[in-house]
Amino acid sequence: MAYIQTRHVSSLAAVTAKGLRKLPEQYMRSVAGVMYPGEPTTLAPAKKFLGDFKLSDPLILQCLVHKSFAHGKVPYNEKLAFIGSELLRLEAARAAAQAGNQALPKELTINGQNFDISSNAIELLTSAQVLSKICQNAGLDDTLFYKTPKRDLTSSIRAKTVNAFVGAVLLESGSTAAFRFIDDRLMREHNLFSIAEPLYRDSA
Amino acid sequence: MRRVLGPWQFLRKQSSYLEAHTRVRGRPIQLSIAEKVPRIRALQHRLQLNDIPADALARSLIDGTSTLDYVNNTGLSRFGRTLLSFYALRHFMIKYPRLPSHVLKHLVHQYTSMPALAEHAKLWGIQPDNRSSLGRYLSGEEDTDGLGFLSYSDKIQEVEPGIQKIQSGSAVTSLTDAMGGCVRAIVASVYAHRGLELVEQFVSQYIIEPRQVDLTQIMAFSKPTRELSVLCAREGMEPPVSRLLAESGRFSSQAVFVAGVFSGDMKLGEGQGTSLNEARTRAAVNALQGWYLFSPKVSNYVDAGEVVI
Amino acid sequence: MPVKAIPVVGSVLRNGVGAFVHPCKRITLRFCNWGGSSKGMRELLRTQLKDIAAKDPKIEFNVLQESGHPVIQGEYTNGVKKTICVRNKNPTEILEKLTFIKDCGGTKLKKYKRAVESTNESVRGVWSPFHVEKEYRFKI
Repeated sequence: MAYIQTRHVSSLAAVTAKGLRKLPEQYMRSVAGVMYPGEPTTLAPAKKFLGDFKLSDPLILQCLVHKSFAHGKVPYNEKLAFIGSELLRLEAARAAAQAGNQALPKELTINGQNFDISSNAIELLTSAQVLSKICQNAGLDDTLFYKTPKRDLTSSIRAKTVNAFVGAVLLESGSTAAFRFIDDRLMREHNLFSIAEPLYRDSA
Repeated sequence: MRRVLGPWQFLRKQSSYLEAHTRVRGRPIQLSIAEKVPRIRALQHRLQLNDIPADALARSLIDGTSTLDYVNNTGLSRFGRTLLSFYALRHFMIKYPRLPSHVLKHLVHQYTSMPALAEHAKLWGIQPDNRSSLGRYLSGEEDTDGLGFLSYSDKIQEVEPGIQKIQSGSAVTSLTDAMGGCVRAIVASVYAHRGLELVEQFVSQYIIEPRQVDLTQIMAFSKPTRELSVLCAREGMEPPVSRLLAESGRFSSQAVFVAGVFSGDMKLGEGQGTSLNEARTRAAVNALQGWYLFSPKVSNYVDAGEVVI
Repeated sequence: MPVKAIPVVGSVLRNGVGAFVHPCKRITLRFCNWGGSSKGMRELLRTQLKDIAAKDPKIEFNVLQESGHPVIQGEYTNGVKKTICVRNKNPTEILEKLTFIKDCGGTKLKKYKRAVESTNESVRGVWSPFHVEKEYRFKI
């Protein structure tokens, strides 16, 4: 005889103790107090941030959820951010190679591109500081879902959100659209460079 | 190709910044000299890179530790690394969207690490040359004779037969790193001359497709049964139940048990073992492998993420 | 972390999947300027060397003048060298040997016992006594 084992678990909303299962209302809430999956207004700043680039609502919501939220029970943005950051790094390196051709005599460039710029100088553009600032400027801060970290990791969480949007556009609409997204949204609309400029000046 | 990089004009304005961060030493390789080197011509034809100028290929073969007085491949190799890791990651993320991110990272490493790329360099017939400038001078060779070889300084030097001196620092490198670095640099020169779409094709044909990695061997599960039940709960499936499917010689010294793991009517996996527990665990591992190694037909499948237990 | 990534031991690089890189990278043709056994080799080098090298640009050809019998040596990407002595052979015979060196994969010659040798897992799987119908199962 096959039987299915079941357990009866009761939760108390008022009490929190180790080993006691929490009610979903306790942990499915964002730092701003919004219940997952959010109100109709939750996705509005993200949609404004995306502009012409259309993503499905569940995918936008996934970009806003950090792995720490609700113990990984709902779709989160870890892998989208992973591929997004790789794409951003590639795009920054490509741009620097094209823009830096005047820094070298022509016979030292390769097909008119300068590949000899130190990587630290390029990676500054896509660093967590810069991306987290973009996330704040886009007003995405209150719509993020994450568990408040013990150490201050909020800038990395914000940067992951921006990376995740790049990754989501890449997986949903292909690399041409993703490059256009980086150009149109991050560079033009959100002025990545004016954010990065003070950092450039500091390190130059 | 994409239109001219508009907003990146900012970087052009920062040309003094880019100039300050540009590091290059040595003199340029002349195309007329590089074209006449038979090794480079042979390499061009062997890899079907006839459209890549010989001077770019010759430069890709000069490591940062080389004693030749030519420009080296340090920057190219760094750029090639960025290209390779992006394309390898995208390939596997589309092919196996459910792989956990650290497994994915590890898988990409299996394809783009220096030892892996050094195997490609060997397959491409790249020949290393680690002689010092004095050694070359004594055998009556000039710098141009060193072109077409992978030129580098080895960190292991044989002082006298049987005694090796291992050096450290940035002036020396290992053969593996030099070989891997030149593959990265060749990928970057392909990008510089052919553009983004064709370099993707090159990476996929020459680096990713030839290598065969057994993906069932790449993952180890520490708590498979628990992970499976959390996964079933998250996906809204019935909790997994293990059932014995077949057995033989329960009371003998060589017992065999075949267990299956089921969620409702659905069979998730099956495993065989010499004890009931082993069979049950193997069944759960089999089910989890089936979940994580799922490969969809569409390219825009976005995964929710691995299970957290 | 419940799933761990472990290093793969036997990852195989399969030449010919995706792209094929010609395994023979260098051929050295050795001849003697004086010896009678090099007569055919000398004639071959005088009349056909340019055509031979132009036909296979992916192979680097070296010509070496050294005393002794004439020799063709091929170097392969797996590190193997194959040497054939072509003493007293006429140009046609030498060309045959050269083609053999050129087209070789660099592996040791062996007899293949099966029509297909693959690194892939069998599609059909291994027969298992536990997966036949219950009434046909062997009982201990």
